[in-house]
Formats: sequence, structure tokens, C-alpha cells
Amino acid sequence: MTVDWWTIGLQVINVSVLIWLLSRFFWRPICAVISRRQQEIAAQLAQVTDGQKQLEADRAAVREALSGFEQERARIVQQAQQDAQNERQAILAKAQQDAAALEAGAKQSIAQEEAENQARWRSDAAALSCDIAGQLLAETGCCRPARETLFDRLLKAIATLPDRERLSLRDGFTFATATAPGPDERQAYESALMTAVGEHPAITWTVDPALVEGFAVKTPYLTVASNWQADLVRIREGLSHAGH
Amino acid sequence: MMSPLSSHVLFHIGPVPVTQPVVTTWGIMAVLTLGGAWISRTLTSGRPGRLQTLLELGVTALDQQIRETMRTEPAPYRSFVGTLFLFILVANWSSLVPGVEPPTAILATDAALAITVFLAIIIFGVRSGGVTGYLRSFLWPSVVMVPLNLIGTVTRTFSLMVRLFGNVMAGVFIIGIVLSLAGLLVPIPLMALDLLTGAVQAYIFAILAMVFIAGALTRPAAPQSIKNTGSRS
Repeated sequence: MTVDWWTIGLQVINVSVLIWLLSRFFWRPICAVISRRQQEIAAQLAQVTDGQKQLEADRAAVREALSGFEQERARIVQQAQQDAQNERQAILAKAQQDAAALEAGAKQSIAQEEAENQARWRSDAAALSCDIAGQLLAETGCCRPARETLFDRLLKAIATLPDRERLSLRDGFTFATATAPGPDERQAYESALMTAVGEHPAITWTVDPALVEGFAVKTPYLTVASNWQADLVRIREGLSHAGH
Repeated sequence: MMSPLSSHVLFHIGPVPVTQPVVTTWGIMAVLTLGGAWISRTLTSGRPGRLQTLLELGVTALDQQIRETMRTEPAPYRSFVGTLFLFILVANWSSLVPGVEPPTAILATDAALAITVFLAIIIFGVRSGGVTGYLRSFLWPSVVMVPLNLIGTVTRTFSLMVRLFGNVMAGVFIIGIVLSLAGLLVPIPLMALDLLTGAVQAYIFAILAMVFIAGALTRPAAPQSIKNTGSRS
């Protein structure tokens, strides 16, 4: 047996060269690719981990925001309930106030209407009474003393006139009577009137049944009445205003 | 059939005789180098194809095997161990190519591989702990073991050579004998078995190379733990 040292040496060199060649052209590139891919995978995993952390943070923020929304909702609801309660109380108070005002206005209106009705009824009653009295006086006629009383009151009224108005009667006036006087009565009236006026004025005689009984002295600017018609009017006005 | 202890000289380069296993080894080297270079060009850092996935799986398995066997990072030893495995595997399986005699069936090639491992043990040991550290590894576990460690260094290299040579040569011989006796198709099961044997032998050779290299590396943890245990008692 001989040892083939040349072959052994060549094979050692061959194996060494092969180790170097494969190290350069095979192992190194594939390990670099594996390392690069592992780094990329690690980076992607890190990104995923970061994404998950970010997602968790976002979820926590959302949960916190939802909690805040819930608190805000509760606060808004409470505030709305409080506002509604206040508004309700304000509306009730205003309604009560308006109702009280309406009630007071209605009462006042009713009282005023009642007063007006009473005044109108009083006036109507007075007018009716006066009409009835005038009708009765017109139908029953008059007695002489009453006519004389009315004439005396006319003379007193003329006498109590202011001088300027009384003197204006000297220019003439109309003397109205309820019934046509007789000659004597006319003479007596004329004489008494001249005495009351002070001179001899021009007297226009007229008969006015509306006076019911009595007399009236009329000028364009002045009327001096002493008759039942005027009395009834005065009484009616007095009755009408008695309730006020 | 030629003697497995001698090689047929094909030609001479000056005074150097170039034998048939050397030429076959050159062919295997060319195939592995060109194939490796071609595969490297197809690698991508994006979505890998089936071939790249298979390669990455193989490299990852190799790294894991180195990590588990040598208890160290695989990067410095990956090229050496991986190339040894690939070369022996392809060399063993080259017997399937008609007319090609596997170079590992020749004692000189196995001796060259064993010598390469022997040199690698020294180189990696010196690189790990320096010359002193490497020489101190012969003192482990005690000074008494120095002669045995020295003998073991030589004998384990010799055992590497003989184990690989015996298995491959036996397979080749059995197939040749059966082929000469029985006929064309009868050796096929034996050839399939020879494939398995070739792969297993490549794996064993690589594993043993890792174990021997790991034995030459510095061991800082073991003496410390022993000392701590002793002081505690």
C-alpha cells in the first residue's frame, strides 16, 4: 500500500478552494438575504407592534372620549332638566300672573259694565219716570198757584242774572208759555217782566206745550227757564248722575 | 474495479500526477460553485420563491444544528461545515452518474477531508483562544489527559477518514459486485440505500467536524462552575 500524497494534497487544496468559493458565492449572499429579510420582518413586526400600541392608545382615547361624552351627556341632560324646570316654573308663574291680570281685568270690566248698566238703567228709569210725570202733569193740567210759583221763580232767576245779561233782555226777547195766557194774565206777566228787566222791551209771545207748565225767556244768547219741562230734565239728570 | 487505495492517474501537470478523483472533485467543485452563484443571483429580499424558501430553510436548519452542537454562534463555522456537508453529499451521490466513481470512495479524498478538518480544528481553536488557549485545551479536564488528548486528536482524524471511506467504498463495492453478478436492475435498491448511506455519512462527517471544532474552542464556564461547587461544599 502506497500513500498518494499528491492526490491528498490536491484534494486538500480542492476542498479549501471549494470552501472559499462557496463561502463567497453561496453562503455569504444567502445569509445576507436571510439577514435582510429577518431585519425587514423584524421591522414589519415592530411596525405591527407600534400599530397595535397605537391602536390600543386610540382605543383608550376613544374609551376616554366616550366616557367624557357620557359625562357630558349626563351634564347636558341634567342642565336641560334644570332649564326645563326653571322654564316650567317661569311659565307657570307668568300664566298665574296673566290669569290674575285677566281675572282682575275681567272683574274690572264686569264691574265697569255693571256700573254702566246701572247708570243706563238709572237714566232710563229717570227718563221713564220723567216722561210718566210729564205725561201725568200734561194730562192732569195745572193749578194756578203752581203757575204763579213758576212765574215768581222766573222773575227771581231774571233778577239773579248778571247785569250784562239782564240788561241784554231790554233789547227784546221771546216769552214762551205752556198754555196761552188770558188777557189778564198776559197783562200781569208783561208788567212783571218790564219791572224785572227795567224798561219796556219788545216781547214776542209764543206757546210751547212742551214746557208742560211754566215759562221760558229766550234770546239768541240766553234762555231763562222756569217750567216743568226744565225741572223734569234737571231732575232726570240729577237722578242719572246720582249713582256716579 | 480498481483498488480503492490507489487512484488512476489521468494526466500530469509538471511533476504532479492528476488522478481521476481529483478531476471528479473539480467537476463537483464547478457544479457547486456555478450552482451556488446561480442560486445567489436568484435570491430576493422580497417574496421568496420555492427554491429560496427551501434554501433558507436548509441554512436555518444548519445554523440551528451548529448552535445546538457547538453552543456558539454559527456564522464563523457555517461556510466550513456547510461546504463539507454539501461536498461529501454530492460526492457520495455522484456514484449515481454512470461512469463516475465517487471521490469519497478513494482513500486519498477522505484523508484530505479529514486533514482539512484537522487543520480547521487548529485554526478555529487558535482563533478562539489564541495559541496558548488552544494548547491549554489539551489540559482539559486535567494534565493527565494530555497524552490521551494528543492521541485522540490524531485518531479522531483517522476515524473520520476511515468511517467515510469504509461506508462509501463498501457501498460502491457492493453495488459493483451485485451488478456484476445479478444484472442491470437488481442493484437499484442497493443504490437507493447507498443514497441514504451517502446522506447519513455526510451528515455524520459534518456533525463530527462540528463536535471536534467545538472541543477545541475555549471553555470558560466549566472550570468556574466546578470551582463554585467545590467551595460551596
